[in-house]
Amino acid sequence: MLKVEGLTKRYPKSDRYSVKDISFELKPGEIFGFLGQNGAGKSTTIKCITGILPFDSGTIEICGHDIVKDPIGAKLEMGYVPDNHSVYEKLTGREYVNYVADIYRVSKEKRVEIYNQYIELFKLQEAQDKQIKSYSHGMKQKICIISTLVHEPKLWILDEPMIGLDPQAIAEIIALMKQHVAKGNTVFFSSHNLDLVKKLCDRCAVVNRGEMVDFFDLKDNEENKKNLEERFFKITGTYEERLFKDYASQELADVRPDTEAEKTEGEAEEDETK
Amino acid sequence: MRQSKISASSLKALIKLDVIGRFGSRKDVSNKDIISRIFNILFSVIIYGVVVFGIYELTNIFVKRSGLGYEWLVMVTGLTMILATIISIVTVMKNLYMNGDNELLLQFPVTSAEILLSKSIYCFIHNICVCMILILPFYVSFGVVAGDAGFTISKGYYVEVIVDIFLISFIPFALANILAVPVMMVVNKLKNRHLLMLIILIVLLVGAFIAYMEVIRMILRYFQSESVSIFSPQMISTYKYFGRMAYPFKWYANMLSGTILAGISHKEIGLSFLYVMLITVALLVAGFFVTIKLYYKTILWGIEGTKEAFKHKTRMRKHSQFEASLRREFLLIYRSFNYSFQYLAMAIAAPIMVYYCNNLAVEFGSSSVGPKIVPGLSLLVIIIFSTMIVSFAATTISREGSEFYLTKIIPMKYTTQVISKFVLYSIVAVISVALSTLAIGLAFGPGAKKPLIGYTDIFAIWGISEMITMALTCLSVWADVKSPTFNVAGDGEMVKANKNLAIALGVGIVVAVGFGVFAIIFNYIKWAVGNSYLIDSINDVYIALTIASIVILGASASVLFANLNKRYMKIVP
Repeated sequence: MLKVEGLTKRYPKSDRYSVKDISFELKPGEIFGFLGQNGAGKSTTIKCITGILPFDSGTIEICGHDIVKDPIGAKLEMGYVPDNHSVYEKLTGREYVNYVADIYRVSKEKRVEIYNQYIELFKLQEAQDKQIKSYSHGMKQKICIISTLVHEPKLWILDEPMIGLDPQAIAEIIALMKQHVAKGNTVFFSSHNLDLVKKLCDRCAVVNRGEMVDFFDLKDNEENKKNLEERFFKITGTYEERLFKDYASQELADVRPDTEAEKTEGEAEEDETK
Repeated sequence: MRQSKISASSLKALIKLDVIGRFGSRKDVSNKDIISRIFNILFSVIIYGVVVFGIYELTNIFVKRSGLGYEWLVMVTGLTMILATIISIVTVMKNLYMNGDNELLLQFPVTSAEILLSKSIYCFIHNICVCMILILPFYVSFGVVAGDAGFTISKGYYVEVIVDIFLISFIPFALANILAVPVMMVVNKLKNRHLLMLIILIVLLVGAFIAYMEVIRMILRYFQSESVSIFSPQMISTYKYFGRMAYPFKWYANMLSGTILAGISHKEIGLSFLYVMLITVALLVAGFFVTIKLYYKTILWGIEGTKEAFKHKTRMRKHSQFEASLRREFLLIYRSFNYSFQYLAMAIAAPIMVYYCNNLAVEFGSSSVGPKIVPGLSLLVIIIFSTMIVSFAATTISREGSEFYLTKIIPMKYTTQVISKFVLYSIVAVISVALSTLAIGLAFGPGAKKPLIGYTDIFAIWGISEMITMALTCLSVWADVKSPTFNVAGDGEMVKANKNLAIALGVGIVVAVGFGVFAIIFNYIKWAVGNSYLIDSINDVYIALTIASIVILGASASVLFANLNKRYMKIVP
């Protein structure tokens, strides 16, 4: 579905590589998480994959189409949600999605069907004929997501898609990701939310200072899921026992309150005394 | 109001913040910035100098030659006060109510009264500067010209000028404070009616241009023969009537020149001063109460209110990629106030403006040089206006702003995307040029009362202008592909013209002048090499310019489209 080999990118006037020799391959039907700190090279990698940025060496293939040699073929197979979810704000929501559908050559029947389905799902019926300029942050993100799904891409790329969204919208996007891969497509998304990656992804990779430093399975691999935070902190060189313990215990309490029940009587008493 | 306490230190901090926000910090100013600022100041001074010279000449005509000094003072006081009021309303609207920093400032430990006062101080100082710049040249010219004409103008007159302008400056400021909110409400009501806004913009643009051309025509006619209609006995009595009745402007004129020109008694001058003080105080009090009553409410409405969004119900229709791209580009221009004005209003108004400009140039050019000037002059005027239209294409990539990434990810060749932009700008400009040529054809062609050009001339002017228009469109788009500047502000629109626009305008003006002057010169003289004539008639001129246009068009298209895909790929926002 997506094959990246030896991707290397250095920005003009920069003395260091933003992305250095990154290689990975995504399979149909998987959700892939792309992790890394701010400035690690996640967005640059995504921008190279989507064709926004030229790169110095390596190859990128999307469904067999090389992004450099056959950019149109590659782009037709892909949908991209950027981190800033910029869209043409002078257009209305419906006009924007229709424009994108025209560009991706989607038939009239298909676009109407998909559009109506998502507009209802995201509850944008009232806003759809208003200028996007008047939309809230979350509404803009939603219309951006609809526009990337209107041509049913095989590869759906999302750059930090959950930022600034309400819980309901996050749940909808998670459901959409699952639906998308259930049809044999692939989802590739970057995130800072380790817990979300743990829950959602089949596999994930960690980039640090432009290099891919870890790559592991999460699906049916409880050990990797359990160790994800520690591995991430250690890999990115940000591991501090004090911080990690705080983070892990907080996450455990937030995400798995049921673990309280697993405590022994003695432990519970000790907690109370504290 | 939220709080009304005012502390001097908070006020000082707010004013300092405002000044840094507007003019930037003095630290870290590069040499390039300094040179650019010096260049801008020099350019402004030159333009202002030209305007001041024009004002001096007009004052001369009215005061020295026509003896309408007092009436002239009343007229210019009225005109400049109206202009200053319009500018002041815009300043107050922008700074007090529409400035995005209100939300930020309200989070600071400052009262809303302090925010209001700091912003009002800026608006007032701005208003005084505007009044000085607008009025001073008129009043000083008046003093100089009246002195030359034999009136007694003492040094005290110039002190009075400063006092008069200071008093005048309160009126636009007070009126702006009263009118800003209603004007803003009207603008908010109109801003989503794009077609209506476009029509209003065109009417204003054409109206202002026609008025400007008529003033120039009057001045030129006056210089040609002093007995012109603007100084007919009937017009002079109208000026005198205006001078008597134009309240409150005449009070300011009384204070300034009552004893010198109009023979007004000291008592009347004292009364004028009293009336001026009374209306000034009354308007300032009204402005004060309106502002403190509405300021906090209005900015809160701006922050938390539900603004009326533009609504447009459409159906999901299928278009080709090219058509969709073309449509999108047009809608983004059409639905923007700034872009509509810069481009569409200009393109639609151009034929009327070309007609007036050409008419004036021909009226004075043909009488002094001869009617053979008409084809070259028409070419010059049409190409200059088409340059003004197509130079907008020099921001076509830059205007994509934060949405530029979309042009990179969509499955559409970069070349096709650029062609769609080129087609849109070309179509609009080509239609505008065709209408401009038609206007000139109707005014000076075979069907006119006094025909000055024939069908061949009209056809040649049209063909050459169209080719140059398309060539300039290519060059404009090329310049922006080469180095776009994605500077965006506010709602994501480009608010400042980038350097590509200046380049496009510069090239267009050079071509217009080159072609126009070539056609004018070689319509009068022949060009021979040895025994054979290279240019023997105007038809030879057209052939030469057509060949030149084809070469320029071919070269521009090659420059734009050669390696376009590769160059576009390299653009990184």
